[in-house]
Amino acid sequence: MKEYIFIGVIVLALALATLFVEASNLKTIQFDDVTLEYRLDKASRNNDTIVVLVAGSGATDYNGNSVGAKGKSDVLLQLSKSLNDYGYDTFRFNKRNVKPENIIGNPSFDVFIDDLENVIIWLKEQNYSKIYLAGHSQGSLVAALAAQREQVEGVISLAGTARPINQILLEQLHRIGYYDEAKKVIDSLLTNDLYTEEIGIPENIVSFSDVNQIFMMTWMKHNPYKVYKSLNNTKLLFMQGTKDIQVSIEELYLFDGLGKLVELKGSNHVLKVISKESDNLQSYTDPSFLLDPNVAKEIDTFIRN
Amino acid sequence: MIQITNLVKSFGNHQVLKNLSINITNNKSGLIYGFLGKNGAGKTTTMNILVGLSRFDSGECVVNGTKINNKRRTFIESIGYLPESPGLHNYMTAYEYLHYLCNLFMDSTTASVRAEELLDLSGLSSSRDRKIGGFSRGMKQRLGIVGTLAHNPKLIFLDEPTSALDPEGRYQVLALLEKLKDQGKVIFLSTHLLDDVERICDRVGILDDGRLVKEGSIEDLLNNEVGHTYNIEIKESNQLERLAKEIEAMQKTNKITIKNSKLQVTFNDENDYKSLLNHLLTNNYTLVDFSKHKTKLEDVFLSIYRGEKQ
Amino acid sequence: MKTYLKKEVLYGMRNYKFLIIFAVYIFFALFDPLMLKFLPIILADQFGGMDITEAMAIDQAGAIQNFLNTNYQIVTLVIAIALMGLVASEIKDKEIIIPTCLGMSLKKWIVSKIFVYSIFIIASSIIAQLICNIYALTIFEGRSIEISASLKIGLLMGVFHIFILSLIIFFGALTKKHGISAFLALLAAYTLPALTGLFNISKYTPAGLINEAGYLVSYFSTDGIISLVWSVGAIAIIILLSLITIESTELV
Repeated sequence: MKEYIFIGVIVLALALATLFVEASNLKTIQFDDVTLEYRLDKASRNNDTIVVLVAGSGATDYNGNSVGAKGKSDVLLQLSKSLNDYGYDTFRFNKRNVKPENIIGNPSFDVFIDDLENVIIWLKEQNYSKIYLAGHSQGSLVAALAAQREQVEGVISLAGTARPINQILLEQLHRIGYYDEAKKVIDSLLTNDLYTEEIGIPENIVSFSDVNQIFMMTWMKHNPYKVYKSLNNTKLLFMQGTKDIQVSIEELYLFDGLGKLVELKGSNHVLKVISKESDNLQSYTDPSFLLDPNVAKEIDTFIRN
Repeated sequence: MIQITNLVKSFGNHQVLKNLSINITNNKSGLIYGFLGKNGAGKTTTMNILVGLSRFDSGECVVNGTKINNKRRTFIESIGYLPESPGLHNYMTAYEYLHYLCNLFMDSTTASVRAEELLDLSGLSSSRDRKIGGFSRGMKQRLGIVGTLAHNPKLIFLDEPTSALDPEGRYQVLALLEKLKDQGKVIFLSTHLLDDVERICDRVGILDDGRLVKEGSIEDLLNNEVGHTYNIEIKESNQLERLAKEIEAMQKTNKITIKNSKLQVTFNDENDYKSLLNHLLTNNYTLVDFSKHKTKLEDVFLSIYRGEKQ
Repeated sequence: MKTYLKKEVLYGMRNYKFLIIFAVYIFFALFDPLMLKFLPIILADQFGGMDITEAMAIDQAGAIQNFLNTNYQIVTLVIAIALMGLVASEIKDKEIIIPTCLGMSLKKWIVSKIFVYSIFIIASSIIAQLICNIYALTIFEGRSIEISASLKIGLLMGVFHIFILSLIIFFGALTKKHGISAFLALLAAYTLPALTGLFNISKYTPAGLINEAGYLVSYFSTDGIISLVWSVGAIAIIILLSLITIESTELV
């Protein structure tokens, strides 16, 4: 009889422990039209400095992993841990499109800016006086745009592009032989029109569904270089990997003159150091490829200066 | 010490024990109770129930004052049990095994002392540091028996302790059991080896078809149960058949057998042999041998299983 | 309790259980990296002399991953076979009759087994992972996996093997047959990842431990922590069920 009671207690304890682990892992903030799930890691008790990590494109979670994809890179999780080791608090959050219901009826790029702006305001309410935004890939543009709206101490671009997305996309699709098809769609989007004819680009390469076209339309409107240039009272740091197959190292130097430029030798788009090309793609889904230690080191130097 | 009342136990559709009742009262001095029966009579089943390891269907069992629960295993204080073909920890030495058993309920130092005592009792002191796996069957049995004595129980159950042993092994085990009886132990011994029972048992219970059919001291059983038997050998061996018919006509016998040119006659009354003797002498039979047959337990046993008149 | 523990340690030593388990862990911890090192040479002919190191993870991480797979498939099997008689044989061979009648606690008997072998399995698993990590580091170049990651992997696989051990003990008490105990435990071990993956509940089962171990990183993901908690809980529940079962198992 005693044993059955113990079993019941254990099952209950397990359920409670699970709830506790999951609850303590992610908290929520309610903004106007969305509930954002976030994680705030404190490096020390009374820190006034925090680095907000902004994820890249897609339905990306607070660890920097694409929801639903096999494998993970944990790029933001690893960056967060490294920054904590340097003594900085970090803030990470699930992009709102991690839950598809959050973007139904509003597939605009700008909602990401709204969310980040709200985060900055909220962090200021939590008495953080020095807020840094570190945006990875698409997140670099989101960070810069949010910094336009709400003053922050500094913005860090991690593998972000200087040119608008339409140029990058066209370049990427050109490389794999879809230039003409892509140009038609992109030209249409640039005139704020959806492209309704048949698109000869496979869905698994790029999806040009109506929802995605609206999203890209709103994304293309923003010129990253110009946005960064407009951030007058904000420290800027630009970092780019030399083995990045999505954003070339030349993109880094387009930011020349706006802030500190750092080449991450041997790093790829997910900021992992790779020794051979076959590791490049593998590192997107294998967290044992660890974050380039120079990323956190440079951010630390940047914040101290 | 042991009170069994109307014990019933079945395995599936086969009822092994059918209202078995046994009563062995507390004995201040030692006692060896022989529990006899042919294979499949229910001896081991009874043993397993008495030591609280096996469930039963109905009835009541009280051992050393503990009523055995028929639904779950019951721990009974102050008993030891050596099952048939017992398992010992072959990877341990004799000393380690006894020390382990003693250490289950006493501290290590006391256990060491007790283990040495038990080794001495079993006659295995010289093999103290040998692994049990290397022991002969007889040595293992002796070790097992003293193992059951670790906590100095008053009552010990032994299931076929001498079967599968060579004569020397059997001798050593029986000698040990007699030693234990001299120490005041009560031993409930199940066996089908009648010689062993005759040699060391004080009382015997015979199990047949799930019931206790005979019970008593060896002496009583031998004297009272089978009658008075005489062996007769005459010179006129070709007239044995005729003689047998003549004896039968006297109507004083309950059994007459011819075996190896000899006649064996069993009388109910111990004085009836005189009329036979008289008949032999008056009918000019030449007597070669006329002697009382030494009744053995085997005779009692067989008389039960052949359903003969008691 | 000390008596029970001493007896189990003696059993493990004298019957070479510890040696077998430790040996199989260490053997594959060394063999797998070595095999991987020679694999390009072995397969060179099949690939027309092409260098396959670009296509395959012929590095320390690959070696650790290989050992992880071997650990799951082969070491689990060896542990199950080595320990299948832990409970079942002692009951079947009537070794517990004399001690039980003397008053041995069957509950302590079971708990002592899980305690002794759990500690040994965890220690062996961690040591093996560390050996694999260090050895692979010496024979491969390229990126390296942190030592602390191997500590974590060792812990996770150790817990997984303790889960298998608990199943063997439970089925041993239930069936009193060592072959069936091992079979059922292995059935659970080898089907759990697939079955739980199908219903997306891996993280609530010991299968989640293997997933977490496969990441080869030193930190725990949330799912990994949940897997660990639930696995330890499952082990505790199985042990409790074993204690319940042994009380009603006929020992004769």
